[in-house]
Amino acid sequence: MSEVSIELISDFNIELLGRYLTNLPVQPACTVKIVPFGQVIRNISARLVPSTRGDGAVIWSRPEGVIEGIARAAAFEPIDHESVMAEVAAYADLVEAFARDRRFVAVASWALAPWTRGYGVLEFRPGVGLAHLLARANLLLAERWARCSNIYLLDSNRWLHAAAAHQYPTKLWYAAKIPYPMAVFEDAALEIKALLRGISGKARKLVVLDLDDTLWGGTVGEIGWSDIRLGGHDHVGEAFVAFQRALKGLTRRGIQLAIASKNDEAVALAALDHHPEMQLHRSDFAGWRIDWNDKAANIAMLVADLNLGLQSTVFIDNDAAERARVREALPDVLVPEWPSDPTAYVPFLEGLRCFDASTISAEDRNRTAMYVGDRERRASQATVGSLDDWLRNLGVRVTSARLGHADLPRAAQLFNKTNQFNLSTRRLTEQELRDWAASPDRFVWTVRVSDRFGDLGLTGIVALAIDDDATQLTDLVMSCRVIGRGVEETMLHLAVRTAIDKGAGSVVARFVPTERNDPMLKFLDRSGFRREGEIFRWSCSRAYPLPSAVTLIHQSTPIE
Amino acid sequence: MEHTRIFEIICAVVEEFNFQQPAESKLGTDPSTVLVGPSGVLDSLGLVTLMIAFESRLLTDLNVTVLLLDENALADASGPLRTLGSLVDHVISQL
Repeated sequence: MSEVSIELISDFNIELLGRYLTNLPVQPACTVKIVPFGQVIRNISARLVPSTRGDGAVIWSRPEGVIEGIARAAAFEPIDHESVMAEVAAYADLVEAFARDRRFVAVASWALAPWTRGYGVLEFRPGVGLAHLLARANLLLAERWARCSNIYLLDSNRWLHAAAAHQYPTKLWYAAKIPYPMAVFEDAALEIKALLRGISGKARKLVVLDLDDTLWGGTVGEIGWSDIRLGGHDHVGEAFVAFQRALKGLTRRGIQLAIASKNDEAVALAALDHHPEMQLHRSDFAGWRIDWNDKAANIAMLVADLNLGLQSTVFIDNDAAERARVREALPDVLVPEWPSDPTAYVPFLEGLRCFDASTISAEDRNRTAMYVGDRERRASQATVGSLDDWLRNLGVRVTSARLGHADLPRAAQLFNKTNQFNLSTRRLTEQELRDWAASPDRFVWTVRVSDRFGDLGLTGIVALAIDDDATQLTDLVMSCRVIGRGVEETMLHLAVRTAIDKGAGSVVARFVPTERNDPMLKFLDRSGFRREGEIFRWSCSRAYPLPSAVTLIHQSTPIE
Repeated sequence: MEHTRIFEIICAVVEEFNFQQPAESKLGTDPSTVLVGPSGVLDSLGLVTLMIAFESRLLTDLNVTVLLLDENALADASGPLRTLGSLVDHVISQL
């Protein structure tokens, strides 16, 4: 990942956060510029125009250091909370203006130090308590910034709890204007780095799991599925149930599960199918390799089957030797050290911080069903004679529409997370994409794919810039899950059709090579476009053929 | 109070502290590691943060109150805070 530059703005000495961001051995690498601490609103106002495009910033303030009404409330002055909300709203507008030309702005939610008690038992009394006031303020910020895709309000309460209340040395504040101990800043830095990975499309997407003593207690092949430790009013069994539920929760965030286990497949699957306390079933897994072969090799094949990368993968196994083997053989796979006590599994999983995506879409929430559909598609392919027969049998339907507001988050996600089938690998925030697409001589088509096994959602983007004679195909982005079904050819058909409609003489695509987009180059080479180095050209004297097995529904307006 | 136990606590704090240090300025965990003086690698903020972290951890782990944030000691290259080893001796002398 490339280095990220960040400005830090605060009303307290935030140097420690800067040091952790710079020196923690966690991706991405950061360079930090610390704005002299003090008046946050003045500092933000003075920096509405960033010195270079693409700057990011972190704003972390004590609420009483920014909002005068909160400072007065914290001093127990009687104050109208509605007037405080008006101040907060003005602050929200200022930060929104500040964020306008920045790649990201992360703002720490407002919190009181853990040792403060405010009004004690009245803390959540409306119009009185500080906790109630701060909750309203944070909610107001969250709601106002929901329309800003590049402002992230981060939950600072978690960081503050990284240190216990009795570990808050007030001496550090008096000596150096640092309100929190080291552990708080370390936790904050880890969270910010997780955010940056999410923004860059580097969040992990696949968890490969062992079975015995990972998903349940005991060796199923030795004791049979009915005797594995799972649920049953046994504290260890309950811990395994909770772990499975937590994993299932990940699938609802778009993270896939898979199995790599040394077991007899039929025996292991029988446990998934029949144990009454099993929370995870076959339909929760995108794939599995259950046999006696090397796990590292199996994981590599699983990842390839699912068209994901090793860099997207986490491997969880209770066995230290298996973890060491996979770590050594597949260094891009994240293999966390795993606790030996199953009652610690859930907090360990929660603490991994590798799944943080910057957005979540309907496609994400349905992704497991899509992968299950893929499994069924592959199974159907095995029963059909030729590829053409299979494609016709599949009933692929492609719906293309102009990029609209509703599709912006998913479209930006595709830009930022797609590596293999990506022509130019441009990385754009939602705002950058919206601004680029707004120009009248540019077209961004979204491509949705479905077939008789289900809806795969928005899986492709075609972006064009119309020039006087040649239309530039600036972006061709497609999820690898739909490769080989005629969708990529349909996207070229769409690009050429648009160019012909606009009177262009040709369509020109410049392939920008990366470490991972060789599949795109291979496709372009066989596409029929004429190649000149890394330029691919199609004359608009003829249409690009639409695959006969694909039904294209094309609309010129956005799908809302 | 056992010398070894105090030294372990001090070293644990150093290991936590080192995450904010660049590679060339990470502190060692042997008694001869220099904290204060010309060959020390810490700036003033690092020294203040570290001393307060030591005080805080000694209080939470051993329930003992020691005072390490002393302006004169922090500036004295031959004083009680000059190395990890002398720091431990200084802590014991306050108990």
